[in-house]
Amino acid sequence: MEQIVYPYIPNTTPEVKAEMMREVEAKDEREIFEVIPDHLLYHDFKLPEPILDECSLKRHTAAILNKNAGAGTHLCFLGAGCAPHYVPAVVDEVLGRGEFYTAYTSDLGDQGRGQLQFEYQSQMAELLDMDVIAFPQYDGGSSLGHAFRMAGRISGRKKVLYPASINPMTLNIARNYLTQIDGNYCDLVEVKYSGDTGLLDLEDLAAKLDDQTAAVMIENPTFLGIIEIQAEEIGSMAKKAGAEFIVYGDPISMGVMEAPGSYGATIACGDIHSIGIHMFAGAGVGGYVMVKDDPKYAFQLKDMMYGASPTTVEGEIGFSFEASFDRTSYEIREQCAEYTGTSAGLWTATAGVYLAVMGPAGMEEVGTLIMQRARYAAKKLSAIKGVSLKYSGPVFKEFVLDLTASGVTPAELNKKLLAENIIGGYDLTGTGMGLDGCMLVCVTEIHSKADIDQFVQAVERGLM
Amino acid sequence: MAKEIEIREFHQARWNEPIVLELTVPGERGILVAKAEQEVAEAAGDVLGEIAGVRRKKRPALPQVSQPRLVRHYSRVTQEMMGSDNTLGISQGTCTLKYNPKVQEHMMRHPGLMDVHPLQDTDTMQGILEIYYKTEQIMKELAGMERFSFLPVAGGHAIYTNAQLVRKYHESKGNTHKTEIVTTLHSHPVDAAASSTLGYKIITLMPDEKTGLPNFEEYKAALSEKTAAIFITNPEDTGIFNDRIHEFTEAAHQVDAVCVYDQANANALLGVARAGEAGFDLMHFNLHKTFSSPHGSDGPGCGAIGCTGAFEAFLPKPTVEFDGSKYYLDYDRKDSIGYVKLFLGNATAVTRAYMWCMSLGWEGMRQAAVISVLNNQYMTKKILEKVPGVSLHYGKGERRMEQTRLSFDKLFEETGLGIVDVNHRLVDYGISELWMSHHPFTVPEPFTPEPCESYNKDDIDYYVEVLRRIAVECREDPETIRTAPHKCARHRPIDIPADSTEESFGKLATTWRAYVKRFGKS
Amino acid sequence: MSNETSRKMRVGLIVNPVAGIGGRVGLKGSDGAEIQKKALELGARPEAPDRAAAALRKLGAAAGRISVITCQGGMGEDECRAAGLSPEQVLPGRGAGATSPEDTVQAARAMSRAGVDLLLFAGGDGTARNIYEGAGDRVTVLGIPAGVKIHSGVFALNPASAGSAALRHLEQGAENSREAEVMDLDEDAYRRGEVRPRLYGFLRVPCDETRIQHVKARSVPEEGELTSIAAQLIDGMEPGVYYAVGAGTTTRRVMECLDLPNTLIGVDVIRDKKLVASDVTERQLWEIAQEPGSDLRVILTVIGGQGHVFGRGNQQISPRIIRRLGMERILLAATKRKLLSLPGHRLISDTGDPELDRELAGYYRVAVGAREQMICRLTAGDE
Repeated sequence: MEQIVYPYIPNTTPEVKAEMMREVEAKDEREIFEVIPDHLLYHDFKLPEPILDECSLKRHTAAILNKNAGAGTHLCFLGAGCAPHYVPAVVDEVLGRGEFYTAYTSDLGDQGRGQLQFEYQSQMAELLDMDVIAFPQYDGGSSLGHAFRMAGRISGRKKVLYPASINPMTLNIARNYLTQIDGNYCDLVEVKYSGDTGLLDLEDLAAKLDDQTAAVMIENPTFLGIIEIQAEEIGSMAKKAGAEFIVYGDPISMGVMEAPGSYGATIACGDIHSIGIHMFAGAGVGGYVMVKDDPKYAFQLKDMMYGASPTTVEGEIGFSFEASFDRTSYEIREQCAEYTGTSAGLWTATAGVYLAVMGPAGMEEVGTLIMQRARYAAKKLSAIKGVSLKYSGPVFKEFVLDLTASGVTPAELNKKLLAENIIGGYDLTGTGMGLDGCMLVCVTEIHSKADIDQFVQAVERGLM
Repeated sequence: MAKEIEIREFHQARWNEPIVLELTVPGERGILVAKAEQEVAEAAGDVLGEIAGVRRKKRPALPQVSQPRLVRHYSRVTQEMMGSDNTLGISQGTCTLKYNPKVQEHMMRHPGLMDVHPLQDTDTMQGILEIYYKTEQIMKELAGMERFSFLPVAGGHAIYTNAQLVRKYHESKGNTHKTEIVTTLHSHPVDAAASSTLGYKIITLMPDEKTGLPNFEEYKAALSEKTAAIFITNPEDTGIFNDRIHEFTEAAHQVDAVCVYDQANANALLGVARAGEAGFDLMHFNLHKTFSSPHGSDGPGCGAIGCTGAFEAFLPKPTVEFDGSKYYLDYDRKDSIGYVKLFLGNATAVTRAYMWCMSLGWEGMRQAAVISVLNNQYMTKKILEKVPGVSLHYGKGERRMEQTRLSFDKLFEETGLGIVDVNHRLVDYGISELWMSHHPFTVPEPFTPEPCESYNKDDIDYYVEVLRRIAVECREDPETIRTAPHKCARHRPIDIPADSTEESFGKLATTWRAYVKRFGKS
Repeated sequence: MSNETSRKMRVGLIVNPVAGIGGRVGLKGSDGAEIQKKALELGARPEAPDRAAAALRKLGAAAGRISVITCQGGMGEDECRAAGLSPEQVLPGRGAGATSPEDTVQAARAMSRAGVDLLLFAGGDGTARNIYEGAGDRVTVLGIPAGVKIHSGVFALNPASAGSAALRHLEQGAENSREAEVMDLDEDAYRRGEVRPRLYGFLRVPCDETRIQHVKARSVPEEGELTSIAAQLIDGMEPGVYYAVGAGTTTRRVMECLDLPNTLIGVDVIRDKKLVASDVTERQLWEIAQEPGSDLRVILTVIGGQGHVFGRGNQQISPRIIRRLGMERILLAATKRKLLSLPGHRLISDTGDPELDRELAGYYRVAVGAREQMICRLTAGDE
């Protein structure tokens, strides 16, 4: 059999391999593995035949990926935690830098990486009006779980209140993260929201808020798209009860919406997907948790932190990811251990690039644009016979359409839209939210008036 | 070895780029944003007026920088990094910094991956699901397991998810007394930490002084009716393979404990030995280490978890299934532990792993393991021969797997300079710092290099020569070492607090606003 | 590091010139003027000066960045000069044959008042006791082993590593320290052939073996670990049960976390997280153990570098008490670092009752963190 020299494995070159085998005094490959007993070896692997040449491999993979549709091929109005946003070319350039995406844990050698992460952290602080941030979490769901646990530790209480309108997918992940062998880390209690406006029901909140409450959590904007304009009041109610105020926010809204830190959030969390990360079939998500400049909060963050300080050379700034390292599970932990590890560094760094490219004006403009287009789409769509807007509260990028009067289910409508190369909204049927027959539509800065009009017409046809 | 190894003259790029916020020129823009069409704007009305209560009062103090300046900034900053694309990723043992094939990166930009929304109708994402499904078949065969899930996006996440599977398994059997997890000190600390996040108590085994492996008698004493699971790495982070692993899993099964295999160090065993034959019930592979997905400056990766049939029902939702003609997602799993990750996990890592496996096949993957072990045995020998002041503490004379825990103890005794000092200097040669060891250290002045299959003999010889050069410098020119680094992008930060006290908080600056407050710069 | 440009680090040096003098001539120790005289008559040559100089040579690398304070003549000054260091300040002292333990105590006191960053001393367990008496835990110290008896945990492995460790501690800004035992034998008993070291107290020593990569190269303090261990023990406390908390800094943290006064080198008894009795005798404990319906448990840590859980500093936990309680009522706690530093990673039982020691041999759990335990083998001391 011809011996293959693998391009990714240089020492498969027969002469070199033979020389190294001599050096380590191994007569054959078995001897290299002599510490592994025979009964643990396996020889009968049934794996596909390899595609050795790069050209064929690329064609093979592309042929599989060609079977997918997406925002590249279709008009996409699907959101629910992931959405088609525009990623500036500069962001993609940085994402493609090999030194960056192939780096990992060098501290001094990767000062550039330290700078990128520190810049992300610094800009998030400005955007959210918070002060301290650690490495990211896997996604918004795990950031919420971490925020709940932190609130439990800080307050010494167990009950956390969350809105019934919460994204069930996010909540499910947080719930899993609170599940322990001996009961839950926190007890989750749902607070009602108004069926008319989509805003939180403050009476119900007042009824459930007590001196056992660790935290009051809101999404802003909510999963159902509504901007929670009572946020500040909710924050003061939480504060009065001695509870933490957790705000789960969408960063792309914060050029126009107030920073959570400016309306009372003591813990801010969420997902950075919207700021410069492609959808990547759901891979483009990452969580953040931020707190104010207070050790009581900061030292409850579970992940490593990039810190900056002067260096041994006057006037220079340097970075290290081992700031306050003894909090982390790499070190001995306190009783309320939460583990840490690899997370989503690629996305936080590029989110930082996004914020720098956009700047204050860009963030305000993109937020305004999204609101205008979403509002326009909502108006047009709800004017269709059999379609109504479920809630009257102000929307950011998403809104709920009630299709029940049309007699067509969201699933049926989506099938018809797909036939017109349109990916419709998120079907809320079966989510357990009492919103069967409703569809969550997402409109972003990428959707032009023409796109929206095309969508509206397709919906009209679909409901006929 | 007649060939003299010439050490290249190196200096990392040093741009001293300001923090991007400092580049602000009021009014400059990095990009322009579309304006709403007139009709849209009119129909929408005063959108900001409606949200008066939470309307932003002051624009965020983000940078105001032109696009050319930003591009220069990022080009410069990214030059100040050491990835496996520009340096020898040998230093970071347990992390397997192998080559990340470019063809995979090119595929990431395919719209059939980059622009796919994870909640689309599965009819429109058959290609993604096909890759998941086919990769699962490959992983099952490589691990000797019956099912896989690619939902966890990191090794720690996989261990956490496996701990949840253990919890659910015992819950389903009514085993309320199972409250303890047994692990070893040389397994990754996240094995202990992720399990304790679920409320488990951790029983840790110390390494035997001679072999570095857990002592079997001690292990048996640790097992009891209360043992819910063992979480174990093999080879351990020391590079030593536990040849009695089968007895360990058998003993655990006798007390109805689940055997969980942390295969973060799988590079040595790929296509050679499997978790299944070793008696494990649950395991995980790191696709971002072993299967060539890049580390991405700290994730996202993929911690692919594999399980035997007994655990399939508990896997997180959703699983990817194939009905003979179509791929679909199964959310209807009543015994599942629930959701651990939004959507489908990291599809980019799964696609890369698929491509990597397909480019190599069994023989190629087996060669990756053979060469990674051969490279390490060769490197270990050369380091012990050539680098003064290094010793090997455990299992002397025993072949290591894909990495070796070594010690600069003698160098320290002799010169007062140890691994931390060596690391400060290593970057001056264009090589990233050596991974030392997890805490607490079991050998003094530890370091753990891993020369995986991506590096050739010359690379390894060069690497060893650099270590030798530095050890000699420790003797002959300690001042240079003490004041290192000299040639990398930045010098050593001096006020990063290592601990979490009120006092150290006064030095903790994770954001520019805190930095200005703490260190007075503006 | 941040200090390196701003000020010189100050090292104190005290040499006990007669330390170890008894060893080579077969005397078991060097304490007491009689013994020293006898040793000199037998032709003994002081070893401490050479050993101290060997350690000091390591500091030569940082000569410009440190300043040395020492005592006259053979109590440090000579050794400094032999190592090529010139002391900046010299306190009064006496030469070999003329010194007394009180000289060491006085010198240690003076140096602790002078505010040295590290107090290096050459000697043995007796010297360590004198340093403890003079300086207490107000200053970080490090012992250069030069005595006959080295049971205390305050000594480096050998003179060279004492020098290296001292250098590193000073270079890193001398911030991190941990407590280590000061132990010494009852010398009269020792000369009768009985090895029974006692715990006298704790000194602060540099802590450098668990350094973090890159960042200031300094270690994480032991504080968090001790608190975590205490948390596990306190969490497990049952109502109505007596807990006898033994000697040591690990067990002391239990008392501190409960806001209770503590006897560092004695045994205190608590129940329902309240103090019942301080510094109890064996007899008092025995009485508690025998109270009808009482449930007594004992919390012990490892004392000394050999791994003793019985027989070093916990003499109150006598064989009859151990027999009555059984090991299931004896809870062990220690830091991981301590366990890893023990020879063979083993615990030792030296209860004074060899038969009991053999009966106790086996594997036991040791609390090492809030939710973590390690398995350790307990063996009889003579194994």
